[in-house]
Amino acid sequence: MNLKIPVLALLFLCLSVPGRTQMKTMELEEVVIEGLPFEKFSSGSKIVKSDSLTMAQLGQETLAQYVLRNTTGYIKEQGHKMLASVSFRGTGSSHTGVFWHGVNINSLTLGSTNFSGVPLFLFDDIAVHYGGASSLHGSDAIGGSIHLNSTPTWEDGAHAQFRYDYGSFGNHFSGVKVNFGNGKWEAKTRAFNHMLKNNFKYSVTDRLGNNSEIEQEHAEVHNYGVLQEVNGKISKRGFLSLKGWFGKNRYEIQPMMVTYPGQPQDGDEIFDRNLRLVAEYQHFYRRGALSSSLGYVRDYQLFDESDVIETKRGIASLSYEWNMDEKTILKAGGASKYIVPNVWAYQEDLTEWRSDVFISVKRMILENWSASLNARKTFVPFTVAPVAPSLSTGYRIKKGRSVLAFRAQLERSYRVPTFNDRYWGEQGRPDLKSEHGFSVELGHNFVHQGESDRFEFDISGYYMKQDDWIAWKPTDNLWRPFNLKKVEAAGVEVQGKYGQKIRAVQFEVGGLYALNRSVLLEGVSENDAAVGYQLPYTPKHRAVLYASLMYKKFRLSINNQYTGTRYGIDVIHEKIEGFFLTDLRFGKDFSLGEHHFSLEGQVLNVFDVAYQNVKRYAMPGRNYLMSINFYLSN
Amino acid sequence: MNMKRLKLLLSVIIVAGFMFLASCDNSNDPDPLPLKTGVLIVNEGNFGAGNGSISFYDEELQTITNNVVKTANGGSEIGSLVQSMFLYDEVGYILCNDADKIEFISEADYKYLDNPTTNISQPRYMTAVGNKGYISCWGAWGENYTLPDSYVAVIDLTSREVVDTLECGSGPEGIIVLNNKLYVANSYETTVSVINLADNSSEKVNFDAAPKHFAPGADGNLWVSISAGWSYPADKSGVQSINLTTGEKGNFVPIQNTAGSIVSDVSGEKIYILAAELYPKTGTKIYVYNTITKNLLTDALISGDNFYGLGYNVTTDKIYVSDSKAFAGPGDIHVYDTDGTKSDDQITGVGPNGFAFK
Repeated sequence: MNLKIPVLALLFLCLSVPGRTQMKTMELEEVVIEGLPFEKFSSGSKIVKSDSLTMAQLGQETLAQYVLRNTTGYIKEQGHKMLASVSFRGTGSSHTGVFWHGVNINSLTLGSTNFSGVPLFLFDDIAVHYGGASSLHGSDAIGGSIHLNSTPTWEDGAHAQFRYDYGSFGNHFSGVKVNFGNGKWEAKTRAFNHMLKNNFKYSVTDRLGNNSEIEQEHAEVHNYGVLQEVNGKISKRGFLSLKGWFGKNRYEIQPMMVTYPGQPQDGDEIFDRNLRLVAEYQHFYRRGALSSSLGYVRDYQLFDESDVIETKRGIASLSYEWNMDEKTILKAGGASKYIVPNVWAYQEDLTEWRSDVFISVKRMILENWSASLNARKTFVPFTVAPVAPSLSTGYRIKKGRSVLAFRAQLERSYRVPTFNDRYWGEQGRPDLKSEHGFSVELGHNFVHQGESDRFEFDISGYYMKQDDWIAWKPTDNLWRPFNLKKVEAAGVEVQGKYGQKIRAVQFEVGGLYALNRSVLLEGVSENDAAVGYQLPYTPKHRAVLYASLMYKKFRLSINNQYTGTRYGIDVIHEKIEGFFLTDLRFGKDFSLGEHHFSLEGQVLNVFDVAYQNVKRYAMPGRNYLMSINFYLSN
Repeated sequence: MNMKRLKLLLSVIIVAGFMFLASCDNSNDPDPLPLKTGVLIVNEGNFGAGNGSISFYDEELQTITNNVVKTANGGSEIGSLVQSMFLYDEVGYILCNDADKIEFISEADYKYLDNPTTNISQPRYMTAVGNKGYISCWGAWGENYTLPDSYVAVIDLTSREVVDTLECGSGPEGIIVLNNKLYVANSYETTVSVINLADNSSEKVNFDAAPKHFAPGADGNLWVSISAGWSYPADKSGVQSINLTTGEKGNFVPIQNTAGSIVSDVSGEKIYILAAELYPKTGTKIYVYNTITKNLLTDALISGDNFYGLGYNVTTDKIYVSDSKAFAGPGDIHVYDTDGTKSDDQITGVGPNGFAFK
């Protein structure tokens, strides 16, 4: 038993084989996965993982598209493929942590990640951990957290994939994935280059009632990224992994829709360069496992070729997981970060040390009932971050081919203020408190695996109360940040799917729906009119309906996503209509002896819906994408 | 657990969800627009959001109608930040400083009169005399957030075209015509440009901090709000007069942290000045200065949070104060009598920054 957990973890890591799963028969995977390092301590929360089939088919898709198509989260996208900020469970963009192999990649200066700048071609797995989980992940994990991972394949041999996409509005994507290894060591390389001219058209009515078609200008996007990974089983019990991810994104910032033909469409330009390095070593003992990692992240942003915003951070972490007895697992550890910012508005030679300590205990109380108690504390100079505890519990019954599970969780989460909040010019306030709050959630999951069919259903309900959210407000001569707002959120999330295989035909249908009420309890000042209203850009309703069909080597899928009415900053008067989008995808695989290739077409926004995600920022109508993939192996 | 029942439950939930979505998106018909005299409120909006708007306040009924321009024009919005609005000869001029345009609406029913004038760069405030409008314009940004190309645009009010430009200093804000002289407050420097409209000759009056806006006084002087901001010594904030005949500066009246907004009552005896408390206090205040007795009331007439704009209705002697609520949501306006008694509060659009009285 003692070795089983780490061994299972390793086995799990070997399960998905990107680029090849596509050729296997379609595998219908579980909604809730096992195997992420934090998963065993969060049996009370909802964790949903990407399926390998979906991931293998991704090319130029970004994390923004993934969230809109596959989760109940919302993405506020300020123009097509422009700055995209996330909202899970009615929280703000800096309340979702984005982790790459345990490293929080949210910008230290702004507090959030641009979801349009995270290319999924580079990753094997995405896990969405809904709800607060600061006790496990630290700062930012309030509304949710997203975990991007690569998984070792440990194959003996070499595989390569080449992909090229060509689409509407000057869309060119080329990508390559190469894996080779000898079963003990392996190297994986992924790289892509994506150009998008983004010169779609929209229509405008002028003040005299004349319609004109406007071509979007100044919205060009260029993304480039490479991910290199080396994994080694350096001994019977030691596992080493070295990973590096470098990305470059250049955005011409899409201007607002013109209000008259001939209005100049110009604006600012942003150039991002991000380097992220992680070295992980895990050693498995008879009754436990030691995990250590070293990381380095450099975020560099140049605004209009003049203002530099840069941070560098070095990260070290160490933890030990101990199987105390057959029913109890204890994990404890710590992490430290050294941060060096270089921002024109900060004082020179500013640096900061931050450290975390954490502990988790899981116990099987009964055969089917587990509970864990987790706690984490972050130490930040000049301010106090709260201790974040959580109590998480799950109950599972297996009956024949069905598994019924119930879960419950109570937790406290927090977000350390950004460097801009704390150190910007004379206004920054290093002593700002962390935003913090508590949440409670209940959930139920049902899976039935039939002979040739599978059904899954999951429902969650949550309540969350948040305090000390930061807002900037004008004071004597300057705007300054304050801990001002209180927010309450409550909601329900439902998802389910059904898949069946009938001879050569496989199909799957599924849906997700979220109802979220997220309101301001206290605003920026007394008598704030926004109190009692839903927060800006947090839809009450989000839904996704999808279906896919495979027949021999032909595949067809459809994804419908609905985002309900949102309100702008004027949460009382500025209503932004909801939108319903339909995307269609079809493809066929061809074999060439050992090798194979596939052709794919996509029709996006099939019904040519004219919509805006962020008010007054144009989005494209119906558009097309064609892709070709070559898979080579030996 | 019965599989069929679960499948049914799932389908019911999904279908019900969509029906719910469909049913709760019906928008209400907007109320009919009030077309009488009253107060127009400029809601600046958020940077990069284009959500500037105009509200109408009915002083008699004490009711507010937001988004009057959008509603009057079948949903066609201004689509920009709105810096200010100027009413002249039954036309409302809406100055949009990020979309670089001036929109023209009918003062009576808020309908657009024309396509906007667009040959303009960062328009701020407007005044008019005869058939000419004068607009302070920041021009394009220079390096390090400087404004090297500021100017005054002259528009023909019939053709609605920019027909001339006049020179001024950097960052012009308040603009006013008195005795055929155009006064322009150059807020990115410490001067007021005085332009003689007879021959377009101009000279500059120099101050100790940044001049922002004007209020004519009953003492025959033009009063200027002077703001130290964080570029000039804090004790240089206050108001100061310009003699309309000689063009010379008069007494300086120090007021801590003047923000810029300044208005006078109907005679110009009293002027009202917006100022902020010193950090770490975060309050805002309205002070009163009597131009005849030369007396500044030491206690503020009105105190509150996030005051952003100031107006004075000369027909009804009501003081209007707008409250930006830090641009984090809808703002407020507060209406006061001249003794500082509050008579009403109303919720506006985002960042109300000023008023126009029709």
